[in-house]
Amino acid sequence: MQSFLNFTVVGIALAAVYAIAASGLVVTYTTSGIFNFAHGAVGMIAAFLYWQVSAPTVSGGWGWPVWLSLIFVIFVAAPIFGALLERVIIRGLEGATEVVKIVVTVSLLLALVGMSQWIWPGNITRAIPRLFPEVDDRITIGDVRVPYDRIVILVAAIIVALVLRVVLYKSRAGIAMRAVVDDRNLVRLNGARPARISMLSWAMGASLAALAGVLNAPFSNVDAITMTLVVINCYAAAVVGKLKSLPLTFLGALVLGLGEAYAGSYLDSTVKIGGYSVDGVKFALPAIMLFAVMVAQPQARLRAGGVQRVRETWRVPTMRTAVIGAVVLVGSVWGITELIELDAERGPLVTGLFFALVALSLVPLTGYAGQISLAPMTFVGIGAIVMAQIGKDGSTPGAVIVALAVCAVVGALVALPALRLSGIYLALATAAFSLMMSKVVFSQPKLVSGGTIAVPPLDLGVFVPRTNQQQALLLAVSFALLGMFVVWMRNGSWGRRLIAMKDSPVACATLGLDLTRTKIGVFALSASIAGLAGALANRSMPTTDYDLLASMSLTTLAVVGGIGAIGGALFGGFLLGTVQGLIPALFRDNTIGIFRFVQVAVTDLVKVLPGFMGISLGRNPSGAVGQIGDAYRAVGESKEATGLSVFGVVALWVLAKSDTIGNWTFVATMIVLLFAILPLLPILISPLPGRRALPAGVVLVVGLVAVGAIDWGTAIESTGVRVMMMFLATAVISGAATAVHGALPSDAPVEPSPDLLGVDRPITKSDVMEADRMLGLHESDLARSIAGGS
Amino acid sequence: MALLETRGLTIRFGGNLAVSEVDLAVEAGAVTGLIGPNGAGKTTTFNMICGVLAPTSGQVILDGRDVSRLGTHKRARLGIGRTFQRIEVFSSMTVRENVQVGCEIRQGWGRTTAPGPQLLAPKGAELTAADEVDLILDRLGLTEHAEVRAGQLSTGRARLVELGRALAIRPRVLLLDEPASGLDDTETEEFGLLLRQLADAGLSILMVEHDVPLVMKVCAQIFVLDFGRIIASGTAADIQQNEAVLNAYLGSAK
Ligand SMILES: Nc1ncnc2c1ncn2[C@@H]1O[C@H](COP(=O)(O)OP(=O)(O)OP(=O)(O)O)[C@@H](O)[C@H]1O
Ligand SMILES: [Mg+2]
Repeated sequence: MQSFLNFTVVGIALAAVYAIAASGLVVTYTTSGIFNFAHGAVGMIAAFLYWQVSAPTVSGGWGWPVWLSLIFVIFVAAPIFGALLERVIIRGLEGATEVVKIVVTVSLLLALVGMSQWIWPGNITRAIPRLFPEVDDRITIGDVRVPYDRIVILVAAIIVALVLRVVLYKSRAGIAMRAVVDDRNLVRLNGARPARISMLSWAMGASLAALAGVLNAPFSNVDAITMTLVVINCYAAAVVGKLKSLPLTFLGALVLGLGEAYAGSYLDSTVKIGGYSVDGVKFALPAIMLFAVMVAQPQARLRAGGVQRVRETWRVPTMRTAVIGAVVLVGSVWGITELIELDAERGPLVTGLFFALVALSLVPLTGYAGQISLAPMTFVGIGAIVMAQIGKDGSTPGAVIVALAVCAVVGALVALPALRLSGIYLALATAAFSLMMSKVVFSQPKLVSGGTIAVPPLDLGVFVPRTNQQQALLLAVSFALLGMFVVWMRNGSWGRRLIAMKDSPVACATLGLDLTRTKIGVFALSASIAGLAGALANRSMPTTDYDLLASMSLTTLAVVGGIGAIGGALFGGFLLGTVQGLIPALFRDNTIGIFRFVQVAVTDLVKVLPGFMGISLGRNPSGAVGQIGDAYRAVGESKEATGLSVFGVVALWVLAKSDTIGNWTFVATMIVLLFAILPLLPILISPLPGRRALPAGVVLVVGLVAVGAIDWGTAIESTGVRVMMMFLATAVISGAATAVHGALPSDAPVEPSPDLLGVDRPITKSDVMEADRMLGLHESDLARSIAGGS
Repeated sequence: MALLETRGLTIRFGGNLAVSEVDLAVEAGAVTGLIGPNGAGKTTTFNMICGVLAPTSGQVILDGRDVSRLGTHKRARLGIGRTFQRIEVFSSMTVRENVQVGCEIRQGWGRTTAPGPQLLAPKGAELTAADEVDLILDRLGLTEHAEVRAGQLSTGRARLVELGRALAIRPRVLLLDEPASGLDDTETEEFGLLLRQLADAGLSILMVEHDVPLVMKVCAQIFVLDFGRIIASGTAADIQQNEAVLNAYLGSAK
């Protein structure tokens, strides 16, 4: 009994931490409409900062007194940081799609985790002392000892609750905050400033995250990932309050905190069911609670608020492009692997193709249907386990099929409760699922022995991928086939349905479409494509390859690549492969001196890259591949240009293959060809009047030859710098050719500016309607105001 | 008996009683009007009829069957189609695809339910899905815009696209929310004719519209809503005479 009461004390204190963190999350979400996945990371950074300022100077801190450190971190640094985030990143997201909103804050999480690992490397242990370190700093109620610092946490939570209550219901700013939730534009009309209020709420949110992070730090490992994930648990509490209600959120936190404390004490590694330990379940409690709450919630209301103007645009892919793309992909992979002996280790090519295949799973789900998953790598893990278990001494093709089926079924089960609700819940559910799988399944020694899954090669009888070249080809062919399948699907009625569902769910429902079933279908498809990638991995995969952070990085970069197109998946996959594999390998020992006194190790820089790339999405929601596609589209449209480029590539390859030119020369000339010559080729072939096409062509050829003449292999020591110089040379050549040629035509359609309405053209009724629509007015409002005046 | 009825339909948003005890009856093969000042609760009533909002109390009855408990897509399958006051076209798709998706979605569930009357088509004609899309585009005058992205259309055209899309599921009752706003005078005229034809072909229409002359011209029966309550109902002539209606629209006429 006494131990039960002790656990209760622990549980209540934990609940208080969750409650504080979760209320911050709810406040920012309701006021700004952005669910901050980086909330936990903000708390984590705050804890590190607290350590930094409060730790004694001998251990690397600044030795400030505790009270000053607390005030500084919670009331100065955190709010400023929160407000800055709002100003710099969040404000730009108004009008962005839900997917972009989610990906941007997920990226923020990645960037913060990367930055913290960079600023506070894990090579020394940082302990944050308890506020009351003495043993007798406690009160005793009956037999139960309650340490002061747990009381402090509880008191803090109560104060937070009271303050929020007063602020939100009594102050003018608070009332405006609650109003923003319902309709930003209405609030604006009533004279409040949503931007200012949103900034305020982010400052408050960051402050609360910091408070939770600092209070919890003494009881947790001071480690970026652990601390980030602790606060992620509070998502479950916030979901109890439907991300809106603070009292229910506190209740959720209480249930969660107590549940975890009891589970933590009564479940240990000795408890087993059929040889599988159930120890991990205690860590999975938040996830389990999240699912339970979601199942209990009624179906979300559809919103009929009018469709927004889309900022992202995708062309409908044609089957012809898909087939050409497939052939080019497989051909290039074959060509490259023929030329360059891949390392014994998995090279960036194989890694990139692997990630591309996973990213492809997000094209139908995220690109077409507008749903998001933060667990693609979890399905990779499931596929890998199935392959390893069934394929280890059985038929591997059969195992692949089982892996596909298992992932589809598991995917459907995971998505079912979330899909009835709005998009943010699917992100939460998949994140929770990912955490749960890592704790409960991927930690089972029976399944993942020694922390890795040994995925056997796919044995097709005639073809077994033993070498890296064969593996690269297997992945390339799989990607090509599946890519064609996805394009075929997109062009069919189901594909159109997915797009329709993304554009207007409510309209689809009134046409008789069962939204939940359609979403389940696409989620299952997506899960099984990811599972396929796992089954084909053909290597031993450590658990960090399919944990939540891996999934988040993949989803982020897939969206950055441009997830509405197959090419975007390929690009995103290679971005991640490059970030993870190629850059660190190229720059093994390099540091980039930004200023003389800041030396940044390239490998550290790489950690924050995916995050920053994702954050930049707010500016260009269509991802990178759209722009790349635009640059090369003209090449495909002109027969001569296509012919010449194919000839150029093949010629260079033959020269390299026959050892006429060295491999580095091949790489350098290839870069010039692809990035300087190809984009300009179409306008050189059909020259514009008044421009100098021929001299520009000569510049390009001379540039190509000059680059080809440099002995790259010996001229520059570091591989990374060498590649950078190649790109620099390419940029110079391209710039020179453009300068010689004269201005390039811009192919962006010029949208008539509404500012010039009535100046350069007469105002028509449809212009008025359009203006009304953008202002959210109904014609009737105008009619009435006119009628009222007369 | 009326094809679509609501009985005591009521919804409360917090303390705001937006729609209260609304009884509507939409006769088969006729155009019925629902009018009222801004904020009267017309769109909210539509949302409850098609299942986008759940009423606090009251029922929606389609052809004698209580559909109040069914989800939006199930009601659509039973024959309730609608358009939206705030445009809900599939903005990244072309006009043709918008209508096509409607056909395709219907084909997805149409096997299990009896199809409604084949509107617009010449009697007895067998139409393929593609023909049907063409026919709808043609009848709505959208053929020349078929390849334009719906997101780029003017409000008036976008409303027509929504109408075409709703027709593609062959509804029995069609709810139109301010379909003529965004149309100019000649277009409104043509639109009125189209509504008549649709009704003559057997479709029942419930229309919310602020263009009073249009309503008076095409609607056989008109309901007037004010502050969430039905304050009058009857034929155009009845309504034009009605004291309460004049008050609601023009303020207390002194
Ligand atoms: N989701 C909601 N939450 C709270 N109040 C709502 C909601 N939807 C509608 N209302 C309220 O219900 C009332 C009726 O609104 P509704 O949009 O149905 O009016 P309407 O008759 O369609 O007006 P209009 O002619 O302007 O389209 C209004 O007072 C509105 O503020
Ligand atoms: Mg309305």
